[in-house]
Amino acid sequence: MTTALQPRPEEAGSSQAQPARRVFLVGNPNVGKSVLFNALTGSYAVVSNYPGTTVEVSRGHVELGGERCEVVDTPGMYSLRPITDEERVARDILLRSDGCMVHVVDAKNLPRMLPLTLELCMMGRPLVMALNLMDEARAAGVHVDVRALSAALGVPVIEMVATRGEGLSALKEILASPPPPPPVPEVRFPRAIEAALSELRARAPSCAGRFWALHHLEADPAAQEACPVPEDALAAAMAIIGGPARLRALPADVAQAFHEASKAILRGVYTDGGRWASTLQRRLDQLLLNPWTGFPILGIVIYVGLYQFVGVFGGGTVVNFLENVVFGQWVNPFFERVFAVIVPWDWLRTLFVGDYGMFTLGLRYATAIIFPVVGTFFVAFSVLEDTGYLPRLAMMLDRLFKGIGLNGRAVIPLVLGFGCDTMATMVTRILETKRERVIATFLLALSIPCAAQIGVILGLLSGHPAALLLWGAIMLSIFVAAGTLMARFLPGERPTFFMELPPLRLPSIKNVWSKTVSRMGWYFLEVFPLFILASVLIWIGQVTGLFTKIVAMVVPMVKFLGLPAQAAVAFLFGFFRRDYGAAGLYDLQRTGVMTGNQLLVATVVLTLFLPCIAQFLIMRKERGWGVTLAMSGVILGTAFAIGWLLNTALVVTGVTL
Amino acid sequence: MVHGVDIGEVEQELLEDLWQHQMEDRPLPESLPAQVKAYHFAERGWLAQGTLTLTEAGQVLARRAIRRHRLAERLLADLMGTGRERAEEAEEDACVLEHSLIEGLDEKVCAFLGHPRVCPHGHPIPEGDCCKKASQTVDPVVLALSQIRAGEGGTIAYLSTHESGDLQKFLSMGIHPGDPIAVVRQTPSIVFRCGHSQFAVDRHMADQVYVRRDT
Repeated sequence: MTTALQPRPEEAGSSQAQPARRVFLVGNPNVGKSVLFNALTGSYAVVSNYPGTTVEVSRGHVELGGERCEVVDTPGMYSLRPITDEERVARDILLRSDGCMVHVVDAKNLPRMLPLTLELCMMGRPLVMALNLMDEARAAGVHVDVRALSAALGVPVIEMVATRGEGLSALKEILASPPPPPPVPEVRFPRAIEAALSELRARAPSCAGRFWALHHLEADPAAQEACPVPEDALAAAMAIIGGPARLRALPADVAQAFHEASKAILRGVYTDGGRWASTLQRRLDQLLLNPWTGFPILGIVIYVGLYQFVGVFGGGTVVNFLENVVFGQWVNPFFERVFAVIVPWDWLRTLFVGDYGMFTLGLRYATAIIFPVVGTFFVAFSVLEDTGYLPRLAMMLDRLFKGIGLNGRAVIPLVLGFGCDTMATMVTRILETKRERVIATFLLALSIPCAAQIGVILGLLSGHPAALLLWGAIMLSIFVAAGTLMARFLPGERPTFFMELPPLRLPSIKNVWSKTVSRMGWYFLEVFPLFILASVLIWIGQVTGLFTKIVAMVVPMVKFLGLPAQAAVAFLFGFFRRDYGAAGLYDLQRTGVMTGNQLLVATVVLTLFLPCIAQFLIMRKERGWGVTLAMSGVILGTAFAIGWLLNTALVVTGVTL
Repeated sequence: MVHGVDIGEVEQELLEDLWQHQMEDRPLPESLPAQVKAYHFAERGWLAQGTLTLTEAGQVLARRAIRRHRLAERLLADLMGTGRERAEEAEEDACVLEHSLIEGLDEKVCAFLGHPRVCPHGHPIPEGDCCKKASQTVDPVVLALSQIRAGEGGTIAYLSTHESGDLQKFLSMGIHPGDPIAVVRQTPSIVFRCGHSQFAVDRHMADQVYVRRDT
């Protein structure tokens, strides 16, 4: 095998400067890759953006045989023929870099996963198989003859229970001196494909390996990039396969061939006891999948997880403590005293400790108001994620989601949006069609309030339960209306739903914790500088007098909505972040400037309002300038139109909340 | 002999081509215009003069031919076929078989198969009188996943997908013809079990998986 995988220049450069070895964790979703990652690196993942895209790729380090190695956790994928953008990213990471791969496999589902192992074998790079979830396999009565499997593949196979650290030291030992690349697996394709492969390899000897030749036939752009072949050679090979109908069937024929080859290997290696889940698991599953019990359970999850834990505990108890005790009594007075001494000039001091000071406002909003709400939300989300609840929710909501042009899978970004819309916008890439990604991005930007916002809104409207209820009803109606309109008028493929339901599992505290920490780390890097920047900009505006002028310009818009002039400042903040704007209202509500009606109008408009700068930037990155600007225009118009309508309706009906 | 009109195999296949062109927007074979002339389609009242548009009489005959062809495909695929490979071979056999499905026999086959609506390639099978009566007297051997009751199962007979993307989705998840499969739920979405994994799909996807039920 000489299919040298050529790393991209910049990656090659960095690895030459410091020859750090790399280990890539590869595999389907839900096989315990991230658990293994945490166990290997022993640290919290450094979540980094993959260059050019924004899918989360965790990187960490592990000591292997006295050498520091980088461990990369790739997004889950089912095959090297990607369907979603997420899978494409995972695949490209593998193709473009060098190093040993660890295929993490769910032992009880080995027959479904071995085809990917064979594909990885064809890449001609060091490969190790981590036969994970052995505990579940044993409980299911599955037996795997590890020695025979290893011999058949030419790949070291290690039995593991990553959650308990079983097999970890054996894996590390193997990785300390990576095995030689495995032999090319015996996969026999239909005759025409074999002939085309030979033809291509004869005409383009640079592409001598079966792996790239195969990917060339499948018109994979990555193949042209990694080892280009002349166009006429490719055309000649394609001609052997046949007309467009045969070419369309090619990926299926290839997948079938891998499947057949894996079946042949597993004969006598894998025996299935055929036990399906424990009775408890099965009963719980039935309750979650049955709409009659599933929807009440959803209600409980929302009430306990979102309302009690995030809203009341995070947004109430913790916020009050941080706001009143930590900041009110210690942090703010401390900085005020410090800056009174070190900065004698009043105009400069306001940059740090004034009404909009970096510490008294920026730091306070970020840590005291936003942090507890977002933090508790991420804990709740990680728990839901790890139990396997979300795919079941997706299954239950699929039909309803079809009405708004999405499929059930979209519940993941939409639910995540209640935590952080920016992160959720990135996660829309798990959706398969462009149309769905556009709809989901728009709905996130328009109608899904993030945790920080919800926290502030719950606080704002806490004294006005009717207003809170109305706010919820209005947001839900707008969500449904916007989705329905887009589903009707946006052209493109209809959504289809296909999702694996992983077994129900008890979440591990360690995993939930490390996920929350890494998400919070990301969030803070994203949010904190913006808050500080906002403080600085407002300070500049104030010192130069520009701030008052801009506020004066916003005042008529705010009055148009029937709000007091002071709310203009909050709206101005809203341009930085919606939650920042809402947090601005918080101060107004405390001083009792606004009535219940005004609070409702203001919260509705701010929830609908333009997304924060971070989300705007991610939208541009994912959807492009055109779509983003068009969406922003529509959102701004909708927010003010709804606000005006709402205010008018309240005035006309004479309702006071 | 069909309804007293003498139609040979070549004519039937030409009628099928014309039907697929007219009803399903498929391209016509290049040789067709010359052939229909040679077989006097216009003179026999099947084609409107000087065009390639089927007359009403022509449509009746073409519809019947298409129905027989696709029923033959289903019969072969459901009874013998396992995978795609076989389904493609079956297409050739189906051409032979369809001409043996004399009037009346096709109704029996249709009932036996449970009045299928699509052929293994996903093309619609025109309804016969028997389907309209919908007298499902015989339990069909092979059913779409969406028609199997929760708690029942069988073996995947074939995947009949309209779009190669859908097919790829099934295959990359490790769902292949020949694998055992069991339905867990039908509402609100279809949940099935394959190996030690559970999957949820919508009706559109479930309509593409054909399962030979356990007997």
